[in-house]
Amino acid sequence: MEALANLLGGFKSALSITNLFMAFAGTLLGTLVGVLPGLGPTSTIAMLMPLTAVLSPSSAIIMMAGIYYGAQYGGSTTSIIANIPGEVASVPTLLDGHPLAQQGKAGPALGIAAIGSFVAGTLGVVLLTFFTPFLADQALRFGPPEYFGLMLLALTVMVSVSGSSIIKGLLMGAFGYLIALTGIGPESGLPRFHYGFPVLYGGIEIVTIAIGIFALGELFTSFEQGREAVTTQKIGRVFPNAQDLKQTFPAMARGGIIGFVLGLLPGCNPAVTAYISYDVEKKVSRHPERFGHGALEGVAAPESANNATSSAAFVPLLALGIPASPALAVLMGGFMIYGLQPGPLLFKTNPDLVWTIIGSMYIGNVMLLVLNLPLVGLWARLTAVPYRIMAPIIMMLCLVGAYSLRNSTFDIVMTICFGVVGYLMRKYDWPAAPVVLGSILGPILEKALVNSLAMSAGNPMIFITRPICLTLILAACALLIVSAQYIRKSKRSVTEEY
Amino acid sequence: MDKQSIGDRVAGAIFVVMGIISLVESWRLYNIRTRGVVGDDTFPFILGSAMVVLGAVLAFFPTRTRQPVTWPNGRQAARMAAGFLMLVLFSFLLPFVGFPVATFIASLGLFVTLGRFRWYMAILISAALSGIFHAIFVAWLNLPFPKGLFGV
Repeated sequence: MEALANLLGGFKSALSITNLFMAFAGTLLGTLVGVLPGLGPTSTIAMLMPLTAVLSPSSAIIMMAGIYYGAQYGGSTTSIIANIPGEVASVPTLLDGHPLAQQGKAGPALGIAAIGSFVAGTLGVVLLTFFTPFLADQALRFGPPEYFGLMLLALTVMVSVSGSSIIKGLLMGAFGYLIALTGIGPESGLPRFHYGFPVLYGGIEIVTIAIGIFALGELFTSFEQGREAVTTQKIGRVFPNAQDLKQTFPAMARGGIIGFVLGLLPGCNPAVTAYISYDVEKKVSRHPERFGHGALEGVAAPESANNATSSAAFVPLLALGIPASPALAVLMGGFMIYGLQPGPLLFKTNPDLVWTIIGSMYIGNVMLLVLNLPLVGLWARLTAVPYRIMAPIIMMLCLVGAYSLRNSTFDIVMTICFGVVGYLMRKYDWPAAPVVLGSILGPILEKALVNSLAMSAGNPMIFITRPICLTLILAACALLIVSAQYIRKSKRSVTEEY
Repeated sequence: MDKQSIGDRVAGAIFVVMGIISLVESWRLYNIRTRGVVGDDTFPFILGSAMVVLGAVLAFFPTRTRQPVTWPNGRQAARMAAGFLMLVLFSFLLPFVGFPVATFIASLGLFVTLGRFRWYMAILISAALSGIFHAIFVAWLNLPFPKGLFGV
């Protein structure tokens, strides 16, 4: 009841004209940043930090928070329309989102993404409102061994996104992880796989892999196949109907819960929750063969998960002062500029500020829906624009986005190289999703392993003696067996059919 | 032997080579490891071993598929190659001529080769595109693109 009273007070402050405008500006900018590949909320929040000199603390932080969760939604638009993941967390969305666009169903796909983001984002904020201190305590029970177990669990997703060949999927996952190994090692701080080139000390950006393989690879393939546009089918409905909503609501709820629970863990990348949610949805579906070919649930689940994760990430930030991601670390810098220290005391020393921010997150989620639903029709019609116009624009956008990562032409070159790799992968039927998954999960897995063994002085029993870790490892083994059996069954049914 | 089998065998061989490279790097890192049970060499070793084994399996037992692998014909291939070269050109030109000019030149090439627009239309669209990109990325978002020879 106390939380409800505080929340009502927060709404009163959040509904001021200035704060409403800041929430709108933040969500609009965040959506735009999410749409543009390569640009992320981190750099945008950092660029707007000087505004803290002229705005009140609550107004500035409301805007920056709006950028953060707005960006999670924006990435889905280009994923669905153009097969370009605006954020790495949007990669699972394109697995079914872009096939839907090719079938002339971009509108329902975008609409479901918007509604799923709203439902899960709001669910996340509700849980944040009432359970922040309790949830923060639970999150602290996750240490490096538990992260190791969680990453193993996430890696099993690689099998189910491998398509028809597990070996190819595993090889692509290993390839993705090998690319991510380039750069500074977590244990020694020395560079790996650099071969004397200083430009490789900084590693290879995951976004260049995603943009190159998915966007450029798709465009080269489309040109070869002589495709006129993303879709040549008549664009029918531009909004999801009641049947679509009924079909996808369970996926939204499941994605939201998975995204929120995993998002409580500091350092848990929204891409991880999106992949896991996608995999869970595929496994519980009565028709898993639809996934990868235009299943609306395949859009609803990862989009809900990554928005719930962005809400959940505020739990460790506000309650413990632990930023879950680089973007939130910059946001935390915004707090500190005002002399505010996120953590348990913030609720006591500045309750008005905290509850205003939480209140504005409800409003921001509504704004995201109101902002983006009307644009669904416009985005959907872009799928009919001829490739001869769209493709050069998309290609240039990809390269500009790649450059903006680190202001380096090396990233442009890498994007082009991965574009060629993506084209060849499509040619020879190699799965693309495991590459991105391996490149995201691999470094986290390695760091967790190194830290775990450092904790236990080299004793591997630490993974067995901690119950949460053991449970996760056993769950990973079980999921691996289930995924492998599913692939074997689907191969057998294809053989029987022919 | 169909094209898919050859493709899988070649890919398998490439992965074996990548695995060996990873194992060599792992050996280098192992020799400079100072402490701990697990070091920076551990995962390169695991990945390298996995790639060698799985790559060899794929090379000797390629997957079977009924979809033939086809390649673009002469003119199509030439257009695609030209488009690819435009992207490479952009990465080389950007530090020297600056963002707007590099964008204009590369997009002009793309609209002519892949878009098959006539020159005058391609010039108009490319000029508009580079102007819009400059407005969004440089003027509005303040991204630090190189100014190049022309100082723009």
